[in-house]
Amino acid sequence: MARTLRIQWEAGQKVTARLVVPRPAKPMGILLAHGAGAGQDHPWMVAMRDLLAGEGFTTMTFNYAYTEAGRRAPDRAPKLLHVHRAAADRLAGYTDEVVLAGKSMGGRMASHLVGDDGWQARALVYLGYPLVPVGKSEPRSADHLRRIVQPQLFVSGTRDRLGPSDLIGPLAAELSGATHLPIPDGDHSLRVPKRAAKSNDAVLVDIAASINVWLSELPGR
Amino acid sequence: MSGSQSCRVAELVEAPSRIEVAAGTELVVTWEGQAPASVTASVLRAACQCADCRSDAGLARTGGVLRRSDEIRITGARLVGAYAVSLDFAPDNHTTGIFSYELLHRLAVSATD
Repeated sequence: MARTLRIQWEAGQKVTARLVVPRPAKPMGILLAHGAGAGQDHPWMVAMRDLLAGEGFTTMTFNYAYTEAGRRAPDRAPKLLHVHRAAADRLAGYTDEVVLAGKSMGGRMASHLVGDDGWQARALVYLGYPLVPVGKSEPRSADHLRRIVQPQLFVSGTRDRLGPSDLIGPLAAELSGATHLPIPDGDHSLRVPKRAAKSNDAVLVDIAASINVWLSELPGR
Repeated sequence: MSGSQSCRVAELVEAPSRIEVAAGTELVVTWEGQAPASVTASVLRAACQCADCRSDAGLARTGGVLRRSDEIRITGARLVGAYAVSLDFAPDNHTTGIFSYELLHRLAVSATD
């Protein structure tokens, strides 16, 4: 059962967060940031949050300010990062270490929080990293990813047009301490077609279990 | 390659002074003057860049899940020229992965942070 929290990110400005603390809980917590198109209470986000908690991680989701206000258009990056940082700081008060995870835009913001702002995450997990902007053909700059010294896990669907595996794979191979987990037949939301070998639910279960394996085998643990 | 194409020139990484398979579950690599760095079998198996692993059929066969290193084991290691090591994995009996010293270094760097 998720507890609902209110996180102040600026004087008089708060967003809602949901926190699940499993029993027993690992010392590492996961902050799961939502993508551009849906907030923390979207069924995909709730499922992934609960699956990660099921793997023993204290897991928190949160709304960015625009989602909290019921707007559809995402805020500009500085405001997204402001809220993201406040949520990360809050989870850091509950767990020994924090892993920043995010779906699409949420993962990209996590990467900027670490790569540009130096937030001290234990590791980063990208669930569909949006390397190619919507409507564009050229990938975004990955320079900030190269500044990240923490381990990075790129989970990407092989049908993902925003994070094509033929770009994400070589990028992960180029980055220090990065791992690419391709999801066969997965789209940008890691959903698979009905003809796929696994159901969507099974894919999400496998992803959460894989994240657990990857985090449990991080060097220095 | 034709003049209109480009390729990334690999960063030169010196050959390690020692490469050791530890308990079948990790590769311990030591570069001169540096502390030994280990990369788990799970990460190495996921990082395999061979054509089979990167093909749709290969991904359908092995992709979508990371297995624990006590389920994936390194069963063999051989030097490839002066630039890489070839690894064999169980239980899928995968033997076509070549891991350049550059890739090993990238995979291992976070181990020393």
